[in-house]
Amino acid sequence: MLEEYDDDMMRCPRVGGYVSFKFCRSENNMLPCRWIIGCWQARIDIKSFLDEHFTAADQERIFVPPKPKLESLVEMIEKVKKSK
Amino acid sequence: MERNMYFLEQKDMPTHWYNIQADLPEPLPPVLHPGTGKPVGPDDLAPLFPMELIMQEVSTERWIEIPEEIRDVYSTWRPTVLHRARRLEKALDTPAKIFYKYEGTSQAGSHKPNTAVAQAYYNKKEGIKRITTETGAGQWGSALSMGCAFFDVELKVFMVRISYDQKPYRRILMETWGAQCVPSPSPDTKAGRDMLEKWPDCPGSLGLAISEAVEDAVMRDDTHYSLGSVLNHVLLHQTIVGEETRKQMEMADAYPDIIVGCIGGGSNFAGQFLPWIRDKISGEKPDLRVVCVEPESCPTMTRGIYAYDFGDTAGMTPLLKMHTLGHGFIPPPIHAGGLRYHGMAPIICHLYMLGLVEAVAVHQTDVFKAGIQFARTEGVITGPEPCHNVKVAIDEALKCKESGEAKTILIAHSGHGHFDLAAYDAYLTGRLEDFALPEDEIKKALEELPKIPGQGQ
Repeated sequence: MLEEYDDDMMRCPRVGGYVSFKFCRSENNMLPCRWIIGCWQARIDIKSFLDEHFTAADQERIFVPPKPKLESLVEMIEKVKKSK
Repeated sequence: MERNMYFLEQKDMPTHWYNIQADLPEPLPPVLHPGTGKPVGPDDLAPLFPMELIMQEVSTERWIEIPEEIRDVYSTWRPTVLHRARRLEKALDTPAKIFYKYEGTSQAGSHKPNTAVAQAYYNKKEGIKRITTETGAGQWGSALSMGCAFFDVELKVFMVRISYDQKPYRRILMETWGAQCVPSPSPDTKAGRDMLEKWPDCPGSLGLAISEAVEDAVMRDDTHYSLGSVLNHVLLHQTIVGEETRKQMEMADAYPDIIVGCIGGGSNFAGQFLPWIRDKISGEKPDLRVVCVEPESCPTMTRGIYAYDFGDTAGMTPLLKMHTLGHGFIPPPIHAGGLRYHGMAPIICHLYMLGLVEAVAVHQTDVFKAGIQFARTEGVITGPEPCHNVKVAIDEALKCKESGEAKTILIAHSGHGHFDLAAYDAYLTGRLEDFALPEDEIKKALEELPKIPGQGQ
């Protein structure tokens, strides 16, 4: 069940406070946070959870590491300019 | 009474920032535009940053003058004090001399205002009326709010909604300094509206908050965007920390044998060590040791390699030269958010590759143990990130105890941990766990690196 661990809590180092598992499995544009394995592996079988609820393609999207800052900023500028 | 603090007169505050790009034995590799494949140029960044900051980003001038208006504001808390940690030395029974340069006495509690003030000034000078930024826990948002207040620049902070709801005091801090702080996702941007339509109760994310802040800035001619770490101009502004320390160490008739600092976005540690490392580059101080501290759970420098890596796990983006564990690497959690990146700041990786800095990895429970010892001897509740430095400084001091050497150790101390007490609570109640990455996982991650001719992987 997708909601199985939703009420479990963990301190998120990125946002600096306690968050629920529901946050971790959905904060990345409704997909799990890219750090979810590291954060939860000591408490739940997170790899099986991901395999059960997310496709291989989803997992490719989930685990995209952050791009270099300047590159990602230029990319965002171009995206906004196009939508103007 | 023995001297514990070294005060620099305000008239002796440094007048220039130091730019390491002038002294690098080899220049930094360029960042390429994701669309054109050509190096990113000033025009690409102009929608977000004032031209003077863009020029600082690529400048190779050794010294960049700090405008008087910025020095005036710096003088409301600078120079910060250099401390001699005699009570810690005594507790460790070491012959080592331990100094720490403490940035926690800025009004915002960290080193962040050193660049926040400068960025607000340059935007104001270019006629910009308004700045946007994002913040997670609120440290950067707070610092920039203060900077903008000093120069009467309007500020809008997109704060990740879950933090916005959990940390009303950070929001109030920003609002007290005059900033508008809104929860992200917000109805004010297309990115925010799209998300709210899909998920009205969305708790937000850092990525979304950045998208909203950038969109807001690009859509308006009177608005720019501001970033508090990673970029060259941010590191440049922080060098006032190291330049002050050089003068204060001279007052103490001392020169560091070892400088320790944590590496994440890199701005505080780089601000301290870059002004010293020029002595090593010039050959004047060949034995100076600069030690970057990283978490054992994410050992990018100590167990990774310097290589070209894809910027994403799918391997679609251009190759970037950085210190890396490979694009498939996923680090476990630690309580110092800024220390868990896939790759390090390029300038620090570059210096590491050149053999000018070294790196060491530490476990997080040891880090908090050191933080507790520091609090109980020096009285300072240290933020989770600088606790890493304290841990390594203690280790080095204990080595001196064994060898009988009276080495001089300098700690880059970026600020207090008054807003991070939950992490201390987790340590004190036994809820922190250590996790060291198994060797086979590291090997597997490194095997995924793309093969580049001449890289010798």
